[in-house]
Amino acid sequence: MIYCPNCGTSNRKGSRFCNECGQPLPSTGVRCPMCGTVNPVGNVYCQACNARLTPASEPEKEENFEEQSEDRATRAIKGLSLPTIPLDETEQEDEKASGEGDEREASPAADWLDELRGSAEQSTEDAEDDEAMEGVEDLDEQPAPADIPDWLSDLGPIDQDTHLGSGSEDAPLEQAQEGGAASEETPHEEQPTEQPPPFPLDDITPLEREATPATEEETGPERADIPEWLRDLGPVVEVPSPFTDDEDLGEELFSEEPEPEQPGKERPDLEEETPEWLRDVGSSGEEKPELPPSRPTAADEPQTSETVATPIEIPDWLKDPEAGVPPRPPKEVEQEEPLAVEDDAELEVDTEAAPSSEEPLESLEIPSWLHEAELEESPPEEPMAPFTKAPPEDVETPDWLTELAAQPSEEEGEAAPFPSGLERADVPSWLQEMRAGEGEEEEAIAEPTETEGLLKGLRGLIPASSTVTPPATYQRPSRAETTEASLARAELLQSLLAQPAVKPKRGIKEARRDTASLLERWLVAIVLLFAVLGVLLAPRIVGRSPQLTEPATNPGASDLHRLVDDLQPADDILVVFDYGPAEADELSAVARPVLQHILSRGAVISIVSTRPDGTLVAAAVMEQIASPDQYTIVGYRPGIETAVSQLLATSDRTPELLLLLTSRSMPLRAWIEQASARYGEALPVVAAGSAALEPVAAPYLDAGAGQLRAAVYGLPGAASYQSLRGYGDDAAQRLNALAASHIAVVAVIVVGAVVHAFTGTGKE
Amino acid sequence: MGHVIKKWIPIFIATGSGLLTLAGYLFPDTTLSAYRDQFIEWVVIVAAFALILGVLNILRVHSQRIVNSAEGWPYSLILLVAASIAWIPPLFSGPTGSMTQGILDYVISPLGGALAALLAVTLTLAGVRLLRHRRDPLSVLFIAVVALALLGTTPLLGFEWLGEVRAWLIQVPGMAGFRGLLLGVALGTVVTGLRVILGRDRPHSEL
Repeated sequence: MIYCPNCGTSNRKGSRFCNECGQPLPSTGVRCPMCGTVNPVGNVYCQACNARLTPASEPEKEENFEEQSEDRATRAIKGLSLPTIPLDETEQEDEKASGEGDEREASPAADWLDELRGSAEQSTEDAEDDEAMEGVEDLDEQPAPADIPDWLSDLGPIDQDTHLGSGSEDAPLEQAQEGGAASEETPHEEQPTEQPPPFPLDDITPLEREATPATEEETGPERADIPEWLRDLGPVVEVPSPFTDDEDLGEELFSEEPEPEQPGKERPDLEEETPEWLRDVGSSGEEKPELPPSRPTAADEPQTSETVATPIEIPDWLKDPEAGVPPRPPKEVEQEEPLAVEDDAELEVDTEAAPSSEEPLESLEIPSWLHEAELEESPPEEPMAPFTKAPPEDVETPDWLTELAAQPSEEEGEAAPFPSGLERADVPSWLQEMRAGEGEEEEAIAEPTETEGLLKGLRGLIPASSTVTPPATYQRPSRAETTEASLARAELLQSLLAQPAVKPKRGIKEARRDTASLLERWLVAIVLLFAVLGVLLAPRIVGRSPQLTEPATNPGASDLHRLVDDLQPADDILVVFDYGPAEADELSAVARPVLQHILSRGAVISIVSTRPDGTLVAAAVMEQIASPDQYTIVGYRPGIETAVSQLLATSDRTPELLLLLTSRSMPLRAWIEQASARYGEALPVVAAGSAALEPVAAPYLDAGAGQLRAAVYGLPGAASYQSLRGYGDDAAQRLNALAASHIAVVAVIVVGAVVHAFTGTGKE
Repeated sequence: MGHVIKKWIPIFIATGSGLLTLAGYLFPDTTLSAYRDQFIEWVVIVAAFALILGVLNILRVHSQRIVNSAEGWPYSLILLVAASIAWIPPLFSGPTGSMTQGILDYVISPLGGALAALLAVTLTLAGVRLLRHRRDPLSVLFIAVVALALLGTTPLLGFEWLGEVRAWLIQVPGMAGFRGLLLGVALGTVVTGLRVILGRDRPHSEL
């Protein structure tokens, strides 16, 4: 995750801009310009394609130059040195070096170098073998006699104080490479913390192993003091590393690192000490370049004393120049491990890919012995140009390839015959037909040349014709032909649409039928009106009303009258007004005598309703027959069955009587069922409803059921109840009017049925 | 997860409530009856809100008809005006006050009575025209039963036996038919209740 420095938002790794505020995010890697892979900061080469991430021509900063030079020198010395300090001690000294680095950097390199050179001149005079002193400036120093082995003491006097006291971090690179033994004295504490651990000698590349023995053959010290393995080394270093034991020189001697070479620094005295083979190499007049930071090799592995004693054999690949350079280790390994070993031969390989030195690449020197070996034994590798030059003579060319090369190509106008052993494949006929003919080829060639744009001057890139060809059966649609007949039909349609809508004339029969229906309506209405009004208005017109009927004895009214008579004063009576204004004329006439009877018994009436307008009707009725303190309107309860159950559940005590005043079956059934379920036979339920309610209440009124104790229905029931109460003149008059209307209705229906039975169509 | 919630949570609530209420009726003397009454109390409250929603829906529908000038929109306008007028008096005099009672006595009751009277005329005219289009024995029987029931309700003097015929019609064939109807309704109610309790029918859920 990358946290935005502006807003602190966490962004995904690799993001370049903040997802929240859009601010550019700090770079967490170096993107490879070749493949785009993001490499960790500090990588010199891409871990994916091995391309260089930092520009080779970029001038290194002056302040880092010393460190880089030190690093190069350290690597070079380490690569040619032998492990004289255990790995653990090396790491500890590295840590110390990180703290003392500032002081060492402050020490002038030129002073100790001058002193060293001065001591080298002095030692040259005293040395028994002058050649041994050449290129071994560092080893000319004379440590304490007790600490210096015999072979080293023979090298000559060296100012030990000067050597040990002076910082050697700026030791020249050439000096380090020339003196293989001196390079062994590389102070490990001066090495960067990223230095890899020492490596075993077995892992040193053969070129490196070959680098040192030549020196011993020419100017080496006494063979008795020099290990055998060092005697077998190549002629690169004159004086092999004699320090196989740390006790000989002490740690202080090894703690110093020779100062790397600074560019442009003059070293006139070194030329005199340079061995012949090195002079040959340097005869080109160019100084040895600084070691560019190249990829590490497997030689960076730790070097142990056991492996040092092992005699080194020159590998076959080095002996056989045709074998070429051994394959390098994988790139990843190379990048992870920094450079520790630098050899001339290795430099030649690495500088091709990673030149970072200020000096040109051509200045990289190759040891003469190696250069000569390559010239003599291995032919130089030429760049790959197989199509421009003839193959080398010593390379065996297959016969078929020789024949093929001898035949002229198709471009020369002749078809190239197939070489021996190859035959032309049989192309099927269908495939032959698909081949382009001569005309098509010419057509393709005849494509116009592009005259403008990026394709200017090119031909045949863009087809000139359309790629979609119409089918052969396609015909252009012809214009619609207008005939006179079609025009006539269109005019006729237009005239019909323009005419106003005309209602169809009704037939005489239909008109008669409508008139008969209208007459029927009026006739029924007039008959009913006269039947009712005649009875009601007769006393005022004639002086007496006709007596058509009289109240009959009603068992339901008798039962209800008895139950009400059994009530005691202050008994709670629950009265349900479940009828509306439309049924009020009939039901109020039924309810009024019953309620008057209850009120006469001194009972307390509570009125509820499951209809919104029920309480309003109840108030109208109760205002006529009772005072406000004799009744209580509880109100409306929504939900028929639920309201009844809730009302019964919330009542404080069980009422003595439940009177239902309704004209519909559903409220009657709900009240009867809920009251029976909650109270059983403890609560007597009575009903006073419309005449239409009688068949609905009959099942509950049956003696076997017992859910409805008594019921009165309509005007006959009300008249019967009033007669039981001792008054009933008003009810009897309304009952006569009702009887008259019933007779009228029956008469109209019968007459109409007879008429229609003979005149009707009988069709539905 | 949403599907499970929408489907099974309502089923769980309905089944639990139904079984608990039913158990309260089957075991009235236990604590279950208290839960039953509590559930019923909640239903009454919900039903009251349903009535309010019904009133609001009527206002919304008829308002849209007026705005869209739909067919018969003047009737919708009259309905809204009448509702507004009938809504005002109970605010001042209460649901059973004098002003509210006046609306009942002078508006609602006469109109209700008139509609009932029209029903009588309409039923009579239907009886008159019955044999006009359906000339079969059942139609004749229907007319005969209607005549006997009407004449037996208010038996004319000298025709008291019509009262007994009417009583027989109601107590025997009428009660038989209506009992069968009630039994059918009861069985249908039991089956519907069981299907709701068992989750077969989910009128409370769309899933």
